[in-house]
Amino acid sequence: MMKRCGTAGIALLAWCAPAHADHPTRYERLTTPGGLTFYYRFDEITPYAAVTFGWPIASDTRGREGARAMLGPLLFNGVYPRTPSDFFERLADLHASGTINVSEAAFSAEAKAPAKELSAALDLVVRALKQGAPNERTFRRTKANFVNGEIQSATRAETQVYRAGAVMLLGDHPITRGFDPKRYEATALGDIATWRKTAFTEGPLQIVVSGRLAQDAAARMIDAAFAGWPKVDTKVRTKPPLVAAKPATIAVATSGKQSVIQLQAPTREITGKDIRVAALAHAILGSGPSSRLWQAVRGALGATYGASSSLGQLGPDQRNVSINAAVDPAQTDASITALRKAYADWYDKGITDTELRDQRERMVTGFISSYRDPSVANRLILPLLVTGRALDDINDYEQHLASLTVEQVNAFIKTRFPKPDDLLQVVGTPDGTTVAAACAVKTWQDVAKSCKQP
Amino acid sequence: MHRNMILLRLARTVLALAVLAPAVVSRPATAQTSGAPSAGPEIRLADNVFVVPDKYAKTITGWVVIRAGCADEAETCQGVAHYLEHLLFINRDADHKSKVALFPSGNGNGWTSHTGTGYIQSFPVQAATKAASLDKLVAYLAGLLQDVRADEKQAARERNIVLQEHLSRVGNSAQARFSQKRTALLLPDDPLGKSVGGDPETIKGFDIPRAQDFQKTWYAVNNAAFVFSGPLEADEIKPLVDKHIAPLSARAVPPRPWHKAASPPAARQTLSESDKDVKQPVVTYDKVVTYVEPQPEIEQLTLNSARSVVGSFFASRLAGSPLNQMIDRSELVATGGFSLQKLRPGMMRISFAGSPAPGVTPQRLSEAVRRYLDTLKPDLISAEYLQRLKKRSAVGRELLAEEPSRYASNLVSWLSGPFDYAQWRDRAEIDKRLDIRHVNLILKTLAGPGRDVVGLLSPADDKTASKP
Repeated sequence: MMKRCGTAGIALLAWCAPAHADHPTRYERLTTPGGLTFYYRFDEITPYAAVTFGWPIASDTRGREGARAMLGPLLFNGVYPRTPSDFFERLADLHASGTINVSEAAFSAEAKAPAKELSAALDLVVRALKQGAPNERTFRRTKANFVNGEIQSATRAETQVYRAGAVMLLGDHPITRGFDPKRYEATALGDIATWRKTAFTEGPLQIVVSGRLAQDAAARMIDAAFAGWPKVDTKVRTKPPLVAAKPATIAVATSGKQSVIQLQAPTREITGKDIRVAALAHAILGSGPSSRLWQAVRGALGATYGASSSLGQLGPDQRNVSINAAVDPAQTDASITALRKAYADWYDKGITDTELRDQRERMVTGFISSYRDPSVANRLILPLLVTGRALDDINDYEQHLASLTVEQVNAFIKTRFPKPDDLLQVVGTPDGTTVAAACAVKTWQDVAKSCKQP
Repeated sequence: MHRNMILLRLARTVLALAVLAPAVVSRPATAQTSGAPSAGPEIRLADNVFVVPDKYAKTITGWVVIRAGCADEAETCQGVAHYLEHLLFINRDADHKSKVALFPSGNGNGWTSHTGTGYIQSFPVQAATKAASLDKLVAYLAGLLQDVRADEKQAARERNIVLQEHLSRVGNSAQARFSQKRTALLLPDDPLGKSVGGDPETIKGFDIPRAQDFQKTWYAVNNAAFVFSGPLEADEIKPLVDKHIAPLSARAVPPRPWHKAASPPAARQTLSESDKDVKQPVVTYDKVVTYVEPQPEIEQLTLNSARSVVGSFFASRLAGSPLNQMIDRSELVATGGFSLQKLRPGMMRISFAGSPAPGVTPQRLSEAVRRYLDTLKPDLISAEYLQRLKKRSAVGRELLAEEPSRYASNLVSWLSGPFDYAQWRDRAEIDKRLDIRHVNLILKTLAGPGRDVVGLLSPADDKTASKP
């Protein structure tokens, strides 16, 4: 820590007070008096502190994929069986937030609060995890929310097109099985207890703390909250096979007033720090108003409010490039051509020095700015720990990006991203619009039985 | 981006801010260059120019907010204000070819609401280029008040982009379409009851002269506010304000007729629709009430604060709150929420949107919501709860003052709404005056006569749905 020092009077009595040049970006590995390991970063600048924790989990029970998403609301509503609102109002009194997030591969939870209130907020969240048990009526209400929400979201053209593409690309897969609202309906109240017995003990607990909280206070808080947490064995997850490209063309009738275009294909294997290179190259293609896709379809054609691309996760070491735009139906074909050309140019000719410089600066600025919020910073670290990666993997972020050359990035694009001809093309068409497609279906559910695999 | 969404967010932010009212916060060491006190870390360089120093930030951000939105259009809410917002991003910088972001490695955006329009640009700070970039930023924001630089071809392209934005936000969403209809029924012949971005028919009529007319009428420097935040000091930006903003001529801005629009006639209405794109029944309730603003002005401001406390109570699940009653006790609501906002001087709107719990009909839920509002009693919010909510506000204000980036964003939101800076600055003192009498006056007003609309949006195959 830097010191701000000065002198006073002729006796030259030195005074030194803590001063900070910046939000710290390094976490250190520590052990509590009770023997628990945690990762810690002190930041005096922010008034907040956050503790984020989680562990890896295996796949859901078949037929109930995705039901884990209900777990957070159920546990938070079940801490105080008589008055569940107490939980939320106590958090509000503390100016705190509590979250539970269950993804395909990991469980995580968090408490964030003004530093002096963090211990109380964490106690609420941990109590919900350990004891949360909603009554039958709360359970039915929560389940109905999720079932109805899923059904409602499927009415959007963007969702319908996404699902048509996913079914074609992935076939029977945990992601596509998750489209079925029956997975929520099949869940019973008793599953919470089962889930607690199994998922809570599937992997090693990782704890990350940061913010304006002294190290010894953090250690005491962790011991108090996690003492007696189930001891666990590390389970090795089976690595799923890489998904292959399916360069088909599909037209699906959709609701809405616009044509919805999606072009997608999986990357080759991308591991470790290479994900940064992928993210940098991909951002130039399709992230934000300055990206090539945006400029091609909005800037040049005026056919859309926005065009973009995402780099979704298919497995631990594979991503899915997904290019999306909702466009003027009269400009559907021109928009498809423009999107495909923008991708092909990016793939074949690569990025420029100027693009690399600008995107690198944007990413480094964003990365460093993440440390202003202890919650955001913790969420950078926790996934590394949960997936067994070294903390050092994140410490050289700025230097790594600075070292990249245009040649390296362009070579990376050529070897890791899908070829332009491999893009699966799905177009959602509103009434009266037609597009050329090898397979035309009325609903996304028809893709599995009506569209042949290429 | 325009947006009813943005408007809603702004309204919520303003509500939340008013609720998260200030405690006494420490003043920055920097002198107040305008001589006027500030509410927190901001420095007021001029009446309408603010700097929020944020020495740990990695970017510098600048905003300009114009106190005019679609409600101020000559023919209200045709969408011209929003179209102008789009046009103003075009041809402003030869280096970066008119992209939304002014700086190649920065970010930019804009928004339009019924009552305001805003623009934001930011850039990463590098020591070698900081001064030049800051000069470019201030010049850019000041330039937005001066001219439209799009040519006819670009204007035509942008017209279609605005149409696509409308289709994307409204045309593709049954809920958004329904929301527009119920707001129109609630506020007939009122610009605040219309859609911010216009509709496909009005969008066809957009052209450069109409956009320029709106700009000339409302984009006066004395009708705008500038906010800058980041690792900068007042003496860095003051010369740039003198260079780019100070020379802009102040001019008379017309009165805003919608500010004193007539009260809508009291009525109880139901809008019931079915839609093939709706799978989950939606129940809405909206009510507007009017009241006489008390005198002196400090009483009006205190009443604003009381309204925020009531809004916070309605959004909570404290005992006796509507969500506590309808979720935790009678289990009528699966999911839903209330909001309370001040539309204009002397008029408030309370809104509910939610879905019924399993086994509960939409009609039963809507009746429960209406009955709750009709039977609001004084002292629903106890003195203990009032203190609890006021404490949350005070702590929230203290925390906000320690987060310059969030503070600057919230100040911009405030300046975009129907309030002025003095109210922002004085809220700590105003909150101290707030007592249970003010809260009860708000509750009494909400329970009193007004105009309401129950909305029932059902799946097309739902036999309970009927055409309006």
